[in-house]
Amino acid sequence: MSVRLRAAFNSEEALEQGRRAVAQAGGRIESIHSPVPPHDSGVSPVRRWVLAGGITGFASGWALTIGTALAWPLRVGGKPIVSWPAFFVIAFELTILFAALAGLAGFLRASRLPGGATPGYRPATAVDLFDVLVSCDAGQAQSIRDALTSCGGEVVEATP
Amino acid sequence: MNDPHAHPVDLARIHEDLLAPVAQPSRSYVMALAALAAVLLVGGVAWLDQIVSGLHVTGLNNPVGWGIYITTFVFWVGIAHSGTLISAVLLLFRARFRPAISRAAEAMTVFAVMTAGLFPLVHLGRVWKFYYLLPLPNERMLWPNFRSPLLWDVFAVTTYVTVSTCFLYYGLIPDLAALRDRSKGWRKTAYGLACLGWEGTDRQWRHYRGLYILLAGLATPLVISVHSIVSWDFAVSVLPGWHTTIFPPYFVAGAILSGLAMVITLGIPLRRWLHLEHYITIEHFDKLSQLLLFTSLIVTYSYAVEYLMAFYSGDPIEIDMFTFRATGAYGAMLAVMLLGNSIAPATFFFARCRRSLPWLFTVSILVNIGMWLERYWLITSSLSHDFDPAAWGSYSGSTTEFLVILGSMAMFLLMFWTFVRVVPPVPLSEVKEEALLHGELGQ
Repeated sequence: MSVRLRAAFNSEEALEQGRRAVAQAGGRIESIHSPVPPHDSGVSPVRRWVLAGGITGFASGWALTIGTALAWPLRVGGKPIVSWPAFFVIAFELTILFAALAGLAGFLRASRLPGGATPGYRPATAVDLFDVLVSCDAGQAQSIRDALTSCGGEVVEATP
Repeated sequence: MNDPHAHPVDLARIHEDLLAPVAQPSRSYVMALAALAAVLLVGGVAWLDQIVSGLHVTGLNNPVGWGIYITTFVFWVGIAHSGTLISAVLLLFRARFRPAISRAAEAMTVFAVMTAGLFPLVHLGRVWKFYYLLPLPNERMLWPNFRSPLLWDVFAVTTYVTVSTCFLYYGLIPDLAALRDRSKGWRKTAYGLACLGWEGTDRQWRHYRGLYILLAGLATPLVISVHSIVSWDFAVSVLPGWHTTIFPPYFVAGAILSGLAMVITLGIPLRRWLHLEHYITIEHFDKLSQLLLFTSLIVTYSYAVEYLMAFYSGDPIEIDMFTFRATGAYGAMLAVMLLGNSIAPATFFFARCRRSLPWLFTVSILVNIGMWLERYWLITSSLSHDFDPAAWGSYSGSTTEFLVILGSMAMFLLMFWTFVRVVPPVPLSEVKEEALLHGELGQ
């Protein structure tokens, strides 16, 4: 049977020690709530969204300018119908626009936002508390509880 | 909690200090906002009068078809630029003084671009026809000309306002959650909706950080492109004084100079009125004034190169234009410009001047005036004095135009000073992170 423990630390260093202790004791960290970004937060897949948005924007800029210029060819100021240096400006701006908007969409999806409140969320984690949710087998619970406490964590509850 | 590992940095104190400005403002603060709203109303009425009466209430004429409105458009777009410089470029360079001023600078960017965006519409006269600028399929046999710098402007400014707003809002999300957690009633609901349910989990922070640096990377070339494109509104034409390749870097440097000056103009009262002395320090203003000095030197160099290029070209029309700009009424403007944009910032070579807030404030106002005059000087002189002496003319702004500009300034200030009482004016999580890394705040 699996058990979940929630422990609170009041410093980043203590949190880091707690994470290591949990890993050594065989527990699994489900989530961390913290007022600042954790140090080893890893690489986000959002960058792929940004790249895809940028490529789409760049292609859209060329398609809009070249496509409509060819569909209704009006020669203005003696310039070519497809004036690529001028059209590049539009393509560049749309690259940035689409990349930024796609990045936001990717962030929302990856972060599961907008979302409802997580059971057990404590507002103090937005202030100065570092909260960690650990799951483990029932047999390991006491050793993990001890490990967390030894690192300065206050094991506050076992959540369902 | 008895924790032997407790960090010396007091995050709770930082939290309380930075959320303190988000409170019921004093009566005098509300009165000041009401006064700004009244000035905005006056500007609005002047614009309404122009819409009803037509553009003849302005000083615009043939040949000077671009006057104070376009000057002010360029001015506000320029002001916006240093917000992006501070929030995005300094983030990429990991400048440690950035967090204290980044929120105010980002807000300034968004409000300045919004104000700038109004001016082409005001200048349009028949403002309800603005959608002709957009590539919307229609039955009027009209389609935008993508070869025109004016249309590049539409795309550049629209992209800039969208990306800057996203960047500002994105940075706000963790702080809005902090506000949700300490609010009650309708405010809790409003902040809760605005923060999208943010809880500061490791998953959320990972993606948040990942995108934040990417947005900064996207905003950096964008900011350079936007003012380059604004400069092409002029440089792509063939008018003497406008048709020059130096314009893009010259405009970008000028934009950053004016924006830095505006950050100082707003930052000094912000620090004092919202009691942020512990977080926005003299050191921050020292760094800002060094940046201002650096951009002022680039702008001064551009002024010199512009004159050198004109006289070295041997082109009599170009030489005549630059002589015209240095004499008469335009000569007086040139003197004020040089005083504001080159001479006054040069005092920042001395540390004492950089660390004196009254002097900093004075110089920032001089730069604001100098940069507005620079745009006026550039725009109206070339139009009033082109190739053919028979087509020469003159321009002076009308009361309507000045009232609209006054209204725009009130609008900008109203939005800024309201904003800093609704959300934290200094980013909470970034200051906390900086404090944890370097242990300098909250001790």
